[in-house]
Formats: sequence, C-alpha cells, structure tokens
Amino acid sequence: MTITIESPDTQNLFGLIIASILEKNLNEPKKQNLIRRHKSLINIQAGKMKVNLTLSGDNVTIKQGFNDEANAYVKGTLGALLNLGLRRRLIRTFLTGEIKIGGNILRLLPLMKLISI
Amino acid sequence: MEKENILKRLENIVGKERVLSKPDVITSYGEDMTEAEPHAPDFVVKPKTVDEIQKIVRLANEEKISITPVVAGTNLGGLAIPVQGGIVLDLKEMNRIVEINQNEMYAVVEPGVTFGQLKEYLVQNKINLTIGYPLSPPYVSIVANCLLDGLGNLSLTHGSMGEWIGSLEAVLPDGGLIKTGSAALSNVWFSRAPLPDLTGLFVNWQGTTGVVTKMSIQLWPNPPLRRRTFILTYSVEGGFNLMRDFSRTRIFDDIGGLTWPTGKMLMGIEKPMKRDDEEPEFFVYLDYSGNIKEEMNAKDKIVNSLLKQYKIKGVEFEGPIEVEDLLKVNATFAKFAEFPMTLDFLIETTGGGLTWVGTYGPTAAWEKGLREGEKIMKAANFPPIAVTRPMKGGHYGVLRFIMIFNKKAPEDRKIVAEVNSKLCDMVLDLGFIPYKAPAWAVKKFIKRIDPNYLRVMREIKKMFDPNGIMNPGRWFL
Repeated sequence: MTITIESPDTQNLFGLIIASILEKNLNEPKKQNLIRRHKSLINIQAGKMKVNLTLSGDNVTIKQGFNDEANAYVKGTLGALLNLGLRRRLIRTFLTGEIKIGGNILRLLPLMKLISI
Repeated sequence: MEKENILKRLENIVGKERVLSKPDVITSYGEDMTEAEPHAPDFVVKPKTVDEIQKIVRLANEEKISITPVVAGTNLGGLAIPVQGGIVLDLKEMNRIVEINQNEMYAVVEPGVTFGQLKEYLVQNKINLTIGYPLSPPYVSIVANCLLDGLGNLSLTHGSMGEWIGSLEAVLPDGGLIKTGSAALSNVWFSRAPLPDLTGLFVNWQGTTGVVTKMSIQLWPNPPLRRRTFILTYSVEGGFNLMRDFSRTRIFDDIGGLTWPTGKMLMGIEKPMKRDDEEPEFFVYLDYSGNIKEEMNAKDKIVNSLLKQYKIKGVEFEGPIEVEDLLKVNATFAKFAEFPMTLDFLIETTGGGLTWVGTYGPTAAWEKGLREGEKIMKAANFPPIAVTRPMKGGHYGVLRFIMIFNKKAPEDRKIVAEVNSKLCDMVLDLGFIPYKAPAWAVKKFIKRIDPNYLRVMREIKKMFDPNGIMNPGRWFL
C-alpha cells in the first residue's frame, strides 16, 4: 500500500498530518483491505487548510486544495477533526456543527477508520 | 611557546591521561556547528579539581597561553573556539552536584553538570523541585548556559538564565579564587543579593574574566499537573498579540512562538520553503501548571476566555490543541513534550550546520523584526525559521532566527555569514541585542555601544586579565 503526498515540500501542514496518520494506520492489514475495497475522492478541510484524498486500490494520494470531482467532504476546525480521529466528543462535534460532512456519506465511512488516532 | 615544556608541566598538574595534544584528537575542540572559522587548540586539558584549574591558569599566565573553557561543546557562535590556540579547558569531568538546598531551593553544581544529570538526580532522589530548561539537549552544561544568559522554559516568570544564578565560585585569571553573591559572606548560596553584585562580572563575559568552578542555581517548585497546548494562528501579528496579552495574565510558566517551518520540519520536511496562504503562519505554545485540579480548571477557563475574546476580535486561529493529542498523531511531537529537549530536526541534519542570530529586545518590535527577517532569509533561499518568547512577565522578548546549512560547503558558510550579518543589522536597528553574541556580531554593535560602558568593560578586563589569556577574541576587550 503506498501513500503519496503530492509535492511534499509545499504541502500544507494538515496534509502532512493526515499523511502521518495514514502511514501509521495503513500498516494494519485490516485497514489496508478497507482501502482496497473502496474507491473515493474526498475533500477535507481543517480550519482554512484544504486537502483532497484519493483512495484507489493500493494507493492513497494526498493533494493540496479541493477537487471539484470529490464524492464527499468533511470540514471542521483542526481541533474538531482531531477529536474525530480520537473518537472524542463525537456527538457534540456533529450536533454543534463543528464538523460538517456532505456528499456521499458512504464514501466517508472508510475515512473515519483510516484517520482514527 | 615551548610546546613540549608546557605539555610536561600540564601533565604534572593533572596527569598524563588528562592532557591531549595530538592533532587528530584535539581538532574537534576547535569547531562548532556554526559557520565560525575553526581553530584547533594546542592542548586540551581535563581538570577535576579547583586546585588543578588554579595551577593551569597560573601556568597560562607565565607562558602567556590562552585558555578557553568548554563543557559540551554545543555552543553556537564560535564562543568556545580557541581563536589563539592555547589550552582548551574541558570541564566535563568536574560534574559534581555539590549541594541541593531544598529549603532555599537551589542547587550548587560544578561546570560539568548537565541539565539531564540534574533532572535525573532530582527525580531519583524524589526532590520535588525543578530547574528551568533551555531548548537544548540534556547533555549541555547548566553553568555554561547560565553564564551565557540564555533562555529557558521558566524565563517567562524568572527572566534570562543569568538571573537564576545565586552565587558562584570562580578561578580568576591570576589563579586566585573568588566567591560571589551570598557565598562571599555566608555558607548559604541563596542569592546574588544583597552584596554589590560581582556575579555579574562572570555573566555574559563569555569566559573572559575567569573560570567558574561552582555555581548555585535557583530551583523551583514542581507542580504535579501541567498542560502544554498549541494555538496555531493564521497571522504572525495575531500570534504576537496573543503572546503579549497572555504573558500579562501571570498564569503561565512558559509561552513561545514558532514560525510555520518548524511544524513542517517536525513532520519530516527538512527545508520547507513554501507556505500555503490558507495555512497557519505561527504556532504559539502555552505551558501552565498547577497543584490541584481546580487550579488547572481555573487556568483553562482563563485561556478559553482570552481565546474567545480574540475570536470576537476576528483573529483567526486553530486550537487550543494539547501536546498529548499531537503526540498521538505523530510521535515526533514528543520532542516538544518534555524538557530537556533534543530537537534533532535542527541538530541532526544532512549538512550538519546550525547557526542563529538570537536576540533579546522589545516585544513591540516583534512583528516588524520577524517580517524583515523573513524577507532576508527567503532572499537567500532559507526557510524563515524563528523562535520567539516573552521574558520576565513580558518585559522583553526573544527574537531568534535559525538557519541549517551544509557546514562542509565553503559557499554555504559564506552565505549564512552574510545572512546573519544582515539579520544582525536589522535587529540592532529595532532595538534588539544579540545574546551569546559571536565576535562578528560584537564587531557591529561595539560601534553603537555607550563609549563609557565599553571603556569600563575594557578597564575591568585589563584589571582582571592583564595578560589577556582568558578566551581571547571575545567582546574585543
């Protein structure tokens, strides 16, 4: 399974953080299998930082900015997204709108497992 | 200088095994991580006692050989490079923790005692006191850092490290021994006050007035609960305003500000040159501690209340994010979680070179200083790495620009020297003053300095060290 950061030297901090989480999690065969079964293009915004994540077979690619063809999106403050990864205050986070999700929610489900910290 | 004769005399003082003179062994004592020109010593001597140091100093006076004291050798700015050769006094083996006075809260240490060593001693002996730590590895010397008036994680409350010194004992350039501070009159080394302050004759003098052989350093209560949290601001200006306001609340142990490249370097990018417009520009960290949960809750409330006010004012930021959470994201954040720190992403780089222009000055000039510094560094293709800190309750602040480079490439050394020169000119114009000032920086501000200040410095130096043996090439004395 390969994780590619497009232009790592110019990638924003959030992209680097996501890459770090994915690198750790995708060492687990269970999570690798999860990716292989799904094909998604997801926009994620933490604060003002935007990245898009392509999950395709054995490859995960992280690029800067949003992709207009994304299947789904997640937006929130950096703190709220960290809470999501940490499985913390989830109900409050969603109910108060600290995190917004949209698009094809089913495409987001593997992401939730992938970014768990 | 008759080398053989001097070698024999040094060996008679400390023993043959503690005098080094072979070039392949002693060359490393003549360089540091910066762009400073290396210069090997003639001898490296490793004394273990005050008596040995006194004898070495008397010999140096007789033979007119220079003496450069050194411990870990991690000093930046060439301050421990023996520019006239001579003797490097390696004080690593003088590493006794002489006394811990728990009631008056101080430790008396020899120059070879490191921050790591003292921390381990306090922990192992269940002494619930702490020392302030610099942003340096655990193997650096407490005495050296304090004498060079560096900054540490308790500087927000207690000022620069020179202010943490109580009393000291030093071998004078004539071989005599002096005690300063309360130690001059009392057997309790509690303070620099209330005698006329001769301790100051060794602080910031860069080893030109004698060799400090013992020092008392203030220790502080070590509350059991602590929190380190990060606020990532989208503008430098927002970050600095936060730092100034937070430092006035008097609830923090430490506040620091780091520019955006440090975050990316922690994530493995060695030379981050580009920042996306939509990513935070500045990272503020806040350290606070407490004895009971209610105290921490109250401090949390103050932090959140201040941040709420900033949000209302329209300052954009992410956080607060606790370092424990960042640790779960990436273990490299551990480098920022505990003191003392080993910031290997600065020290262990491909090129092996590290240099900086570090200054103390008015926090009102932070923004301008940082923006100008950014321009200078980017123009030379360096990421704008800077570290800032409010000191002594916000009375002044640190502005420090850091560059990593290829030490082995002469062209790179030339470029960093030029950038450092421009940075230094810029900060001096804004009212900042370099700390641990290298000789090239001293050259610049010695032209601006009060003439009578310089005259008195020179008179003191002449009186102390008429033969000019103590670490020559510093302060242009």
